Amino acid sequence: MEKDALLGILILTVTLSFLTYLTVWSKRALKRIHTKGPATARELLKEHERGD
Amino acid sequence: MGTDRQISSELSRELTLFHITMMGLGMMIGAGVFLGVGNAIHYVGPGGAILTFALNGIIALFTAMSYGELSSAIPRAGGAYNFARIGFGRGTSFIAGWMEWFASSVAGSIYALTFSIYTLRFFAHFGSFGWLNEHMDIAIKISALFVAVFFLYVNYRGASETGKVGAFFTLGQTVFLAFIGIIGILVTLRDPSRLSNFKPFMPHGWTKLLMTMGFTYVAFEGFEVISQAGDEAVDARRNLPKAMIYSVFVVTLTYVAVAFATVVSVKAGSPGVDQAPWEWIGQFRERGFGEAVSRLIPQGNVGNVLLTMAVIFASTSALNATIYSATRACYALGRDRMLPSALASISKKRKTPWVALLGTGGILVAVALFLPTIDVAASASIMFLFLFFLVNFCVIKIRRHMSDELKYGFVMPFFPLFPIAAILAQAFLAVWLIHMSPIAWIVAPLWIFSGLAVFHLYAKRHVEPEGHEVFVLKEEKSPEVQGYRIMVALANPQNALELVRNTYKICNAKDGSVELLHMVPVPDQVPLKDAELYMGEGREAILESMLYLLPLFPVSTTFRYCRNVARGIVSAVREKKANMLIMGWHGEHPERIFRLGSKVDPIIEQSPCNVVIFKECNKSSFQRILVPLSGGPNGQLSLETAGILLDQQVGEIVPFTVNTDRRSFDVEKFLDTCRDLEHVPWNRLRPKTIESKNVVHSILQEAEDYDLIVIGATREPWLRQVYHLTIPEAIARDCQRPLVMVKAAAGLGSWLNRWV
Repeated sequence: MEKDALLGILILTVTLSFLTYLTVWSKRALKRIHTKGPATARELLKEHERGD
Repeated sequence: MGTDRQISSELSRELTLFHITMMGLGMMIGAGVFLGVGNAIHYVGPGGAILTFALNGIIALFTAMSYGELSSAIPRAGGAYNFARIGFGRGTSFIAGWMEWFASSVAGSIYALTFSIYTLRFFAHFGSFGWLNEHMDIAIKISALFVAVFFLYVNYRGASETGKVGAFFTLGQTVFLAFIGIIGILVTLRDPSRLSNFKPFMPHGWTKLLMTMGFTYVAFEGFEVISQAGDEAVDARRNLPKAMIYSVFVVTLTYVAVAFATVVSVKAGSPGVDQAPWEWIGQFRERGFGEAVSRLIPQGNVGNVLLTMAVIFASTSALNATIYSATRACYALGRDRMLPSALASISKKRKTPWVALLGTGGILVAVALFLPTIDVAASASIMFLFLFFLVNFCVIKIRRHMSDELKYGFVMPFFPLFPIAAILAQAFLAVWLIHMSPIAWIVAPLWIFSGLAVFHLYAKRHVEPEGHEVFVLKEEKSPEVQGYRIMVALANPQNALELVRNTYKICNAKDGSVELLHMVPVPDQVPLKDAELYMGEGREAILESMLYLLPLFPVSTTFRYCRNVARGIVSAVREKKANMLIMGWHGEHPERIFRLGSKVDPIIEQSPCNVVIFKECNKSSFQRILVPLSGGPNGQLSLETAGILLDQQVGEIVPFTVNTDRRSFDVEKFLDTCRDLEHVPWNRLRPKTIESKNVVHSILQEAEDYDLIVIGATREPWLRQVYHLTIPEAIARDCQRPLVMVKAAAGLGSWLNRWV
């Protein structure tokens, strides 16, 4: 397989995986935040730090 | 005032997650993918076409996250217009809304024309209407007019109908594209030799990839329409970010699948294909996708019929979404009196902004009928890119300055990496568009300048103040204010004397003038006209301070109303261009989400000038001052401040450092770099260095023998401060002696603080 194709497949895989990861992360973050209700950014970051 | 507005009608909340996701998808899948795939294959080859959509999807997701975070915190109709208003003020927000209105309206006219072109050509192809070929141009315009009017009526019928119609059409086109993608995969599984269509993978090199990303990026703009649904979405704080992120995810996978199917649709060596399949598809440019689909589904005219159906679905759903988006932008401008308030009139029967709809319809129809759409379309693209720029700046600024005020339903990860990456990528794409349409780079600035004229001639005079802004209640200016400006934030008479006494020393040393400031925090539910009721203690503190300072220095006083004291003080510092801010701190342990307190933390983080905070410094003179040092501008300022506060006759300053196993600091070397500082009594410095494993404990222990501790604030990045309590803050919280914390203005850092 040519070098460009290998690199292209690698970029495509990484890109789509990252896209999927961020989408799933966002879904979970939204679920976590709305379990307790919206809060200030500082409160949310602190909660995230504590792993709540 | 905000409380006596005449417009009290509200939009109805009827749009579910499904509706708004489909609206976003509808705007994205518009005509972009149909025109974009063939062109991408032409310019960058088979592999590059797939990478184009995948990489654009990531950039779009970064911007969608910015939109999502802001929409969850400010879920109101207006999208970027509202974000800019809160982030950068009225002028920028007006321009944002102005661009948004125009860009969406023009995009709508392009979709109306696309619908007409494909539909009429389809009928002409079958010879059903022979006269069409002779009068095609006129027929296209008339057909575009009818379809535009129809969708304006659909939008007038109501948000729910808008969402349902949009959802229906979007589902149609998404199903079609998914069908094409699945057929492509099935064909490849049956005939793996078609994978050889990807050879060579990047025939024209990798640099062309950036070019194709540029002209297809606008096909990802759907999160704009979702943000417009802030007033109408059910559970907006949750559903808006969800819909934005889901729609980008779905559309990226769909585009990648369609690009793949397009490449494998043509078999090498099949009849009429005497070149590499990708070259054969690419030669048709924007029609490449259609030609490929005809080969993929060759039965009779099935491919052509399906393609025409898909384009009809795509253009109409995009038209529906852009009318919705443009109308809400116009409605928001009217609602805030930036444009005539009639534009915010809502139909009592339908609960839709019917005048804004008429205004949008006027632009849409005029452009569709009379203007050359290609260059105007490129102008709309540039304006969308400007909007995305702005939104990515807004998300950084608003998180920095209002993270303690707004209720967020979503916060993005890796902040602020994603918005910065999106800003850089979109800057490139906007610049690239100049190669596509130089006229667009004339039209877009012209529209923006006309917006500036409307703002200065109309909006500025009519706009109403809003609750989150800061107002000056009372101001007395000294005619002699000049030189070094020291602002003193006073809150109550108890600590006024302490602040004034120390201000006197600093002002004397700096030969400066004093601005006494009292911020009057008024709860959201209290009308502005009652703000003066909250001034009692502040007025007393100011009067007491004036008695002391007025005979000695030029003194000005300001009373300001604000919803948030910290932001009000930072705003006053910027406005008055103060060189130093002096304030007191009670020293009590704050709520757990703050390091020093809800007022002190944001002020230290955001003030563009030197900040000096006094904690329990009641003594009139200090003879032994401890200055813990670790270098940097804050260390220099703490040394200078200690020199000013030290008793002028007797006493000493101890520059102090604690070295650990991991870190050592040469205090003597640092002092050599401070030789230019004024007000440092060099003959009374007694540097001291100790070894210890616990820095905080050692400093607190040492501090017990001193009258005063002067310590520099942390120099760690703002983001890291949110997560960790730093050494200076730990000392400030636990130290039982009088303490002064200082933060120096730091050149570029302060400039960035001021603007971002």
